[in-house]
Amino acid sequence: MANWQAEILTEWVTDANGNRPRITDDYQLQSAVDATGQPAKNIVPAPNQCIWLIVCDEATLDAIEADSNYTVLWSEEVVLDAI
Amino acid sequence: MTRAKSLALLGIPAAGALGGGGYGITYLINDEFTTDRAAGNVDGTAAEPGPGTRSVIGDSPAVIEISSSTLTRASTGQPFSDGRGIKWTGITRAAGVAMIATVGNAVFGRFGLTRVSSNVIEGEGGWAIGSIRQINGDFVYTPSALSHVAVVLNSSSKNNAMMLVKDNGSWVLCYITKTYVYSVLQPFLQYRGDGSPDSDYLRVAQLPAPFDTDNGIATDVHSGSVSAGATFSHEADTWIEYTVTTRPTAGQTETRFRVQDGSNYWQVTVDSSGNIDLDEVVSGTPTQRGTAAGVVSSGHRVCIVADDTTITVYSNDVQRFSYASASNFKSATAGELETLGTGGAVSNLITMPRTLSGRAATILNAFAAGQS
Repeated sequence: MANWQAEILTEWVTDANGNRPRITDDYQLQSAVDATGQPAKNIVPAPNQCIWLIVCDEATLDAIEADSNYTVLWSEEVVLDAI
Repeated sequence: MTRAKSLALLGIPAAGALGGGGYGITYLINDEFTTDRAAGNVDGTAAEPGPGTRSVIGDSPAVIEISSSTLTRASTGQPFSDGRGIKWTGITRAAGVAMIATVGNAVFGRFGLTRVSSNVIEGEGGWAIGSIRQINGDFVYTPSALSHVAVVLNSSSKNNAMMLVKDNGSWVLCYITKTYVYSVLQPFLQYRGDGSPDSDYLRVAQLPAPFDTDNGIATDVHSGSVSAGATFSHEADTWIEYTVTTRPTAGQTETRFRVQDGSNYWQVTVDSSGNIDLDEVVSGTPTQRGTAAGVVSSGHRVCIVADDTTITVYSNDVQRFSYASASNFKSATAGELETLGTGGAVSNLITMPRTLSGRAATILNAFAAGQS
């Protein structure tokens, strides 16, 4: 199954385990990395939104796109150059 | 035409500037492409000044030529089909046996030390040119201007090699990659696409210390099993690797680095599901900056590259994520294997400098200059 990468808007979750993006609580992603780099001392920002670059399968991306809690800024299929 | 190499043009200081020679470099192959040879007349010729012999791979119709002391492509108008290149005499692997070359930046191709069987480059042990990647691996480094590249073998017991590039005047350790287990490996340059694969030289040599022993350039080495609480040191810009010998059944392994104090540091964690996370811990509160789900199994190697404000995490030789805003604690040089979780085990924790300095850099500069 093809993998897709996308940048999405998500909110921070803060609890006893620290700070993490809600998207990793709600969806099974292959990987995700913070693309905003909000300084830790300023978390949670106002508004509570940050951009994460995620990699997931197509069905998961479809579900995220249909989820009103998230905004998909862009997405593209992951294609590795042949070497 | 025969012309002498200009070290200044190659961006390399003359011998005197490096301390007058006597570096203990023993050449196994040394090719400066001194004599012009037309396309079709390169195969089987001797490396110059030698030792070594060139063997051309799949160059039909012939376009690979030597012109003006450069291995390049003849301007014949022929399409430059994939896979053609040159290999040199096979060499026996040993710690500190290294290949160095200049490669053109605009062409997409491969170079390295690996086995070449029936004119087929066999996977591991090479890089792609352009954006430097492992063959069969993932992207590891994009130099600002690719010029001198080096592959330094470790011993057969480690079965890997250090990939370095001279970028902006400094030797950068890009990655430490798996290599084939074969005892005899061949240096090669292989070209793809329609670019002009210029190369000014290719050399293979047995390098002296610190390269002639495994982990010779390491900042810190914890061989074998590493206990929870073990501390280590690293340079601020660093390569850190360790093996997750056994994944924990509960909790997580926590490897701290760039530790400013007990409440302010970075950590990479691996949990019982094989999830690997990068956390920035400020005043004791962790903030997740990167994560990959279910990718670490027992026996996998985890590699962390901290380079200025970018921290990149690999497992099982695949880049999992790269976080680009790691400005906190970037000058800190302390690390600790804080915990192993329940039933977890970690082994062979090694730190290396991201950018080489001192004698290691001096040796590579001398190697690039063809000095002994």
